[in-house]
Amino acid sequence: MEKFKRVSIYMAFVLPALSVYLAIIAFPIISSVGLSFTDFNIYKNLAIWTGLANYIKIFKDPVFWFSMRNNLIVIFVSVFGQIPLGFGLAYLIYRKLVKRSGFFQAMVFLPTVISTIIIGILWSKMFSPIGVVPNIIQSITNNPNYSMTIMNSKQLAMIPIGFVLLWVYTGTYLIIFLANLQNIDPNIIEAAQIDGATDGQIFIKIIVPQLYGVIVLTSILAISGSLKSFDLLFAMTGGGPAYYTNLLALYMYQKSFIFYDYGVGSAVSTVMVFLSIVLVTLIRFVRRKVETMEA
Amino acid sequence: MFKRLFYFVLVLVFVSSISVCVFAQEEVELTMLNYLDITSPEAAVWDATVEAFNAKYPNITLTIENSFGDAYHQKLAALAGAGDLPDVMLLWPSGRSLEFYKNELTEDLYPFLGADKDKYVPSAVAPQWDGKLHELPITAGTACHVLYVNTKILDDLGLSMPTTYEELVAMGPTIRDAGLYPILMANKAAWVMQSCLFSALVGRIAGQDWIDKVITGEASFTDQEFVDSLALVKDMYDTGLLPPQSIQLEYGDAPNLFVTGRSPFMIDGDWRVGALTPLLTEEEQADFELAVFPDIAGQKGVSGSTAGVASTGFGMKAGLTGDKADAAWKWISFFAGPEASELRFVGEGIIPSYIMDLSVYEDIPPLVVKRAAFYAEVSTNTSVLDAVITGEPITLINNGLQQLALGDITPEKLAADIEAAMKLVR
Repeated sequence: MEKFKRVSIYMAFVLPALSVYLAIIAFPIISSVGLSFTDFNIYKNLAIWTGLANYIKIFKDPVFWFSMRNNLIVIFVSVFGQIPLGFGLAYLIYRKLVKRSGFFQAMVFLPTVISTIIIGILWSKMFSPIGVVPNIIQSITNNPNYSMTIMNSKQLAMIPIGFVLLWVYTGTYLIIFLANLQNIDPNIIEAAQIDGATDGQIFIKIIVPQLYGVIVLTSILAISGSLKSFDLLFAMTGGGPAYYTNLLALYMYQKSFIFYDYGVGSAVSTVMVFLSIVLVTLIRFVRRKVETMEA
Repeated sequence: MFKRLFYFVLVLVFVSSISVCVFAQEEVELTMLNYLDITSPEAAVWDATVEAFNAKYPNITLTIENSFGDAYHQKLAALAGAGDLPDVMLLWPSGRSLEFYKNELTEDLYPFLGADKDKYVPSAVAPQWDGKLHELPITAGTACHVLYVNTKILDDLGLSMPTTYEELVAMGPTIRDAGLYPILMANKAAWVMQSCLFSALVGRIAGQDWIDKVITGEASFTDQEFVDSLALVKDMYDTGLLPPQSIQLEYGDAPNLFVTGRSPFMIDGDWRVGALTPLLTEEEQADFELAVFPDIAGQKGVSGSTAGVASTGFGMKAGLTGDKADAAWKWISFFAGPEASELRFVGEGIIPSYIMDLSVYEDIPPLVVKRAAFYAEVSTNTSVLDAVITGEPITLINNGLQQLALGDITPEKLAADIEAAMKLVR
């Protein structure tokens, strides 16, 4: 009876959240996986089984692979750019190595509270041929005919995007790391200093190991956030010129809502979910390895 | 006496009440998705149109959402996918709106139009898909390619209007040396180069007969005419007529740059007169002309041709009935009718599909008068490609033109890719 009561209370707390999760996350994912094996036409409400045809179609499409490559660049910038930068800035504030840390923190965090669409439009205007960035470079180089061609390069068009991604999201990681740094007992650092540890040793031997969990968590957030990244690029470049700044989410959107090919769009989203699972598993594996080595 | 008066007043009150009930107009809310860049100068005419409609039909509340460019089409597609289309929406006679007609998402307007069909030019109210009229066009047609010319800059540089492509190329160095763009074109959105330039080049180099044949599969995109059209776009970039910056230039930026003298030429659609006119005084407008791309060596099409399409207009969501359908038709017919047509003609020089005497209007801005004259000067209209090709092939053309401009693909390879994509949908 006691056990039944405990389970009932447990269920009462879990069921509402579970049902919401099943309705708005699990069901669409499963439904999307199912659709990816059909040629679903939403207007006729008709789905004919096509097997792996949609997957074969996207794997043969060079635009899909280029979008995948761009997504990997975004993931790289997020994991190896935003997280270390956010961590480093948080550490500077934590160790009080910057003056006016409140202002500093607010400035780094500010882009995070602005709508991503607004940020996309803002930077689109900044990088425009008649925008602020080319004008500044024209003034500095004294060359009125200077034009930014980097955005036109198939290989380099993602570089300015990477810069904007750093600008927008570093503040989020700064706050996460700062909150966790403040949980570290200052006595440990003080004891290390008394024992003669340098700042570098304190950072590597004390701070970083205590934040392994946070680093893994932020990496998972960065990877999943990067894979579903859509709004910034949609507003800033629309995936152009041609498809040079396309991401998988944009590619999926184009297939689903421009060509009305929901089967192919669902196949792309299934690949994104699969890729996300693989990368998160990889991160957890690396964490376990590091922890084992530390032990 | 008082008793009779009492009954008289009683009857009067009763009749008045009945009248109010019978004749009171029902309040109707109409949701609308409109194609408009609200920061553009054309927005003023739109506002005046809505104001006039509200004054004429105070019982109809318009809930308007504006969107522009690819975002408009994507939004409409998403709404269609979600089964949440607005009551009225701006539609194209074919091309970009074809999916809506094929899937019967819009109402046939012929039953609403009835005998009023004779009040519109026949080409505007011709069937659009499956023998039905899905949107009521606001103009008799749209010229998607216009070469706008700033004659003052040409005169200052000692240049004259080119009659051949070679002459245009030869003018390039002089214009560049003056620190100007040879031709201004805002090509960041991929559709612009295809709609406003490339379609006209294909029509000129290959001719309308070839376009008709390639759609049905009797000709191929790998034919030399089409490859030559692609090569000409590449040449315009290689020779610097179109600078590489144009690929990053927002569509809305071009009119301001053009009127401030950053280039002697701008390529865009005829609708851009609406954006240019408010930016120029009447004296300044005297320096601007509307022309078409000069002759191209070996062209099979007609000299002086442009690319055109039947115009856009509002259509209504399928399944509207009763007061909603009545209100929707009131808006659609008002927008294509005499009041709104007058506002557009006076403000933007748009020649209406509604048959009306335009000679009565005085004090029309000079550029608007030139736009009206432009249609008479153009020799013929060839098809705009995105009106006759849809789906993945047109995206391949749009993106491919940008790749071509950036030197990332050859005309031959792009032509082969387009033909392969078309084979799947023909």
